[in-house]
Amino acid sequence: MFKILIWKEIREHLMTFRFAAALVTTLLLVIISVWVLGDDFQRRRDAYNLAAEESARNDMQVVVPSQIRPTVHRAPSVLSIFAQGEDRRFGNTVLVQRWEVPRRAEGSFTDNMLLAAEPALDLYTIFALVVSLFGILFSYDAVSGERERGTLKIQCSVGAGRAQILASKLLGGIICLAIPFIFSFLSGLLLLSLFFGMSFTGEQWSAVAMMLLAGLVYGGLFVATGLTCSALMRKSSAALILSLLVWAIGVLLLPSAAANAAGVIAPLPSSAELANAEKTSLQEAAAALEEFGKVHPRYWTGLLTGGWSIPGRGGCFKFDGGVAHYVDGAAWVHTIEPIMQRRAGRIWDLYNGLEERRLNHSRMFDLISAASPAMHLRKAFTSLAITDYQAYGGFLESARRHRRLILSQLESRGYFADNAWQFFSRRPTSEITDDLYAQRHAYLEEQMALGKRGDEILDPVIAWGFLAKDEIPQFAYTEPASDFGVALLHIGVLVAMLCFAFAIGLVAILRYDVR
Amino acid sequence: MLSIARITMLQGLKDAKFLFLSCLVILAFVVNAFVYSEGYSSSHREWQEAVQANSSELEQKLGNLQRFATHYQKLVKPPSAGAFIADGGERELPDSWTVSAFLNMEPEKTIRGNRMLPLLGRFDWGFIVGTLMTLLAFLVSFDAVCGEKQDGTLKHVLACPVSRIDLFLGKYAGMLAILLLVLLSGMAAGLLLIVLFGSIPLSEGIVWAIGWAFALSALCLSLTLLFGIFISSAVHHPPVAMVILLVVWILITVAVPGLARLLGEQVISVKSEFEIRRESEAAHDEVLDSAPEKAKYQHNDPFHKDNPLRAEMWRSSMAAVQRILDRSNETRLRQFEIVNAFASISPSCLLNSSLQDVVATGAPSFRALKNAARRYQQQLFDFTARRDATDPETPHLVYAHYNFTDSGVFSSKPVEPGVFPRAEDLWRSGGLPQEQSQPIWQLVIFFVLNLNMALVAFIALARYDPR
Repeated sequence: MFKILIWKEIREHLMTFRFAAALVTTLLLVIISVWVLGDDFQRRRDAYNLAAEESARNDMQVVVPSQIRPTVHRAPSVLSIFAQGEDRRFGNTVLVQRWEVPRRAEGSFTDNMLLAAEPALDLYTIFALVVSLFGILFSYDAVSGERERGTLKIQCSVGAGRAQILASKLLGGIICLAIPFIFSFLSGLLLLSLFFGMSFTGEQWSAVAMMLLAGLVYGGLFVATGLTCSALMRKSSAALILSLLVWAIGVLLLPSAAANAAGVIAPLPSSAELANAEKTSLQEAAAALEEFGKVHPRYWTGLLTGGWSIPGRGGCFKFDGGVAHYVDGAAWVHTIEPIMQRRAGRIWDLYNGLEERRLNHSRMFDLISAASPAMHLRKAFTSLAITDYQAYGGFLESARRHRRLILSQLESRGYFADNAWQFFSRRPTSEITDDLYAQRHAYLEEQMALGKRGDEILDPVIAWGFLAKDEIPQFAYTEPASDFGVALLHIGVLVAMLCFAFAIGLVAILRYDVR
Repeated sequence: MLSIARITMLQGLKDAKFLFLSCLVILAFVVNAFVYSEGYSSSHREWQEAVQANSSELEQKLGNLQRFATHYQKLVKPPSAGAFIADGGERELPDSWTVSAFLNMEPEKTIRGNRMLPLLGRFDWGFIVGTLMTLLAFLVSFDAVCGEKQDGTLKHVLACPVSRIDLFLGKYAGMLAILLLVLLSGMAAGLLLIVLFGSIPLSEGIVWAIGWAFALSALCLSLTLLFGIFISSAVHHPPVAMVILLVVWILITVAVPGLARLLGEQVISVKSEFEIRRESEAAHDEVLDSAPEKAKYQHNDPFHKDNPLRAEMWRSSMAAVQRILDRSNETRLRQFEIVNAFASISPSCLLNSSLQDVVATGAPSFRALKNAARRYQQQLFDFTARRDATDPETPHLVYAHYNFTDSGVFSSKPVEPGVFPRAEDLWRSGGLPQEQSQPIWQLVIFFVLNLNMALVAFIALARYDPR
């Protein structure tokens, strides 16, 4: 009997206009979305390859260890075609420097920052908004409509239990909702394979399958919601209004309200707080440099106030009345370098402290928005597509690890201690004197008078030749994998919501007057 | 016609579903007032802190004109008081620009809010009217004609006799009246809260913006209502009409904006920051390669005979870099505007972009910031040149390479407080930035669309079989 009821529901749905509308609408949206985002992914990937190659070339062209400042990049995830997540909002490039702990990535490969606030029609958006609405459309008149047509009492009188009737409507609705979406989804995958030549690994296929599962559970939840509203109301129009109300609150209003409520309960630090924290640490470092300047008066402590930076080549020197003086590179490294690294650490500690407040805010948001099915679907999709904040955070952490590796390697080779001068120059320390600088000055003028270009002149202070590869630490970054655990957790929550909605519907239909 | 309008109004006002949804819309306006009052208050405070921080940093450079002129200031746009009408992505768009006397660099975004949270939709009047109230309009009108046919009352009404034109106008007027009543109630409730909170200044510009917003919203709702009547007159079963209207609603609120962004990115491609940096470096290298060798050498004597060549070299280099930066910013803006143009196929998006023009958020806001940065950079340069001209001890070569300049080539005398151009003078005190405009063209477009849709809907009703 149960199978007959399910089959009856499926046949009824297949004959309706709304099924045709769902099929056409989703096919159109999914095809266009996959086409355009597939093309966009290719451009982003090409841009990443270009940027990574160029950075790798530049990073290898260092002459002295003080020039080691690699740029690291994060590749776009192929699954971002299905769920953009936070991919477009955050940067993909980090410049790893000794004097700054990486805390945010810069630049995006092809994106326009002005469009960061505009929605992108990815599969997640189609599921979150379109699937849910069609789920309601398929089920809002399942009970009340049958009552209005007079067929509900006939069904109840032929021996089918009310629970069976409701369950068959739920399953029939989910199956009929699944058909257009699976069809569209497969069409999209075919398009990616044939026109873009994309292929997925086994793990990526699993992630794609799980996205589809998440989407269907989500759609099933709204079928159950529509059924429940239908069982609570006598008229189909009233059931539709109630279903749409629940949809609007759960999908549109609750997430926005959650963000604002979280802001009131767990306030965020203002951008001025971080700026003040940075300024304070800058002042502290400037004060330390000034003290150093009193001991070593030939040093210019104007470094932090702009206008001059320590050159990476040939050691360090100071302009005094416009005349260059050689100063002891070792003294510089022994004093200035620790000050600046300590400053970087201090800023990072302050930032981390403020970041803790952001974490509290996002936890509060998660708690309040836990009632919104759209947020659970989003988290499932973005964790599978590797476009969530965790993926970005993982990349930043790798960049910070790389910085620590560089610093520890420099330290282990004595560049901050006995070997300090070799940090700046390939020449033996004993050779770097004021006289050499004076000779350099005259030599450069003579060469230029002979018509030579700057890069054709061999600077007598430094020794040419690039650093050996083993002197430069390699960036060890493994592309993160889809987080199936997180996705399963959120799918589980959606299943629980579906069961809860169904349970309410069951109670409602048991009390329903079928006449 | 009037009696039909009155009956339609009364039916709507007595309908519990409609009342329920209307309360939801009014609640949305109230939430909007609460959210944006609090948001504007904190944003304005942050802006004042940013301006103060910029002023403090600048004051440290007053001891030396060279350091003053080469210092990178952060020009921060004030938050828009009209964001509650049309948000335009205020929290996500760049709101500051790095400027010195020699270069206006790149726009930047103040990190506001929590980047760990997903980017959620805006809850401005554009959203409430363009998304929620259009859905309400469809729900009100989907069974206006086919519903009456299904109930069997349509043929009796037409037999009264009531002409089809009277029926059409009566239904339209009645439904529009109740939608406008809900709109006015919502706006009034929201504005009352805004006044009570007191954080958003209701200047003359804002009051005008509210008026324009009401007019644009009324025309948008009228258009969606007419479309609903058209669909109701084109089909014979209310559920079919409901499905069609919901699909259309999905298309105009979700699909069209999403697609518009994707298509806009296809039509105009924007260079990445990496590419722009490379292009700038290449332009800089090209200028240096073509410059005479004598120009590349930094001389201790600012009056050295080769320094004018050096000045010319650096000016050319900076001009080339500035052209690249200006071109990239203009391309970004054009792409943004093209996305908005594509999205204007949807009445909801057309309403949103019109409201953004009225309150100068979104693309107009970015353009205002870009123009302000350009103007301020020119003011700083002119000020530097004028001050240098009064110093007899320099060769008056006012140039720099990014934020570095050769010692002594232009004046390094102190600058008195209060005589130099201030960034905050660029913005009008309170109220809206200077790029606010009147939406005359948008009103005309909406009006023409309404006329066309009214004609189409009436023709559908005129051909409708009421039996």
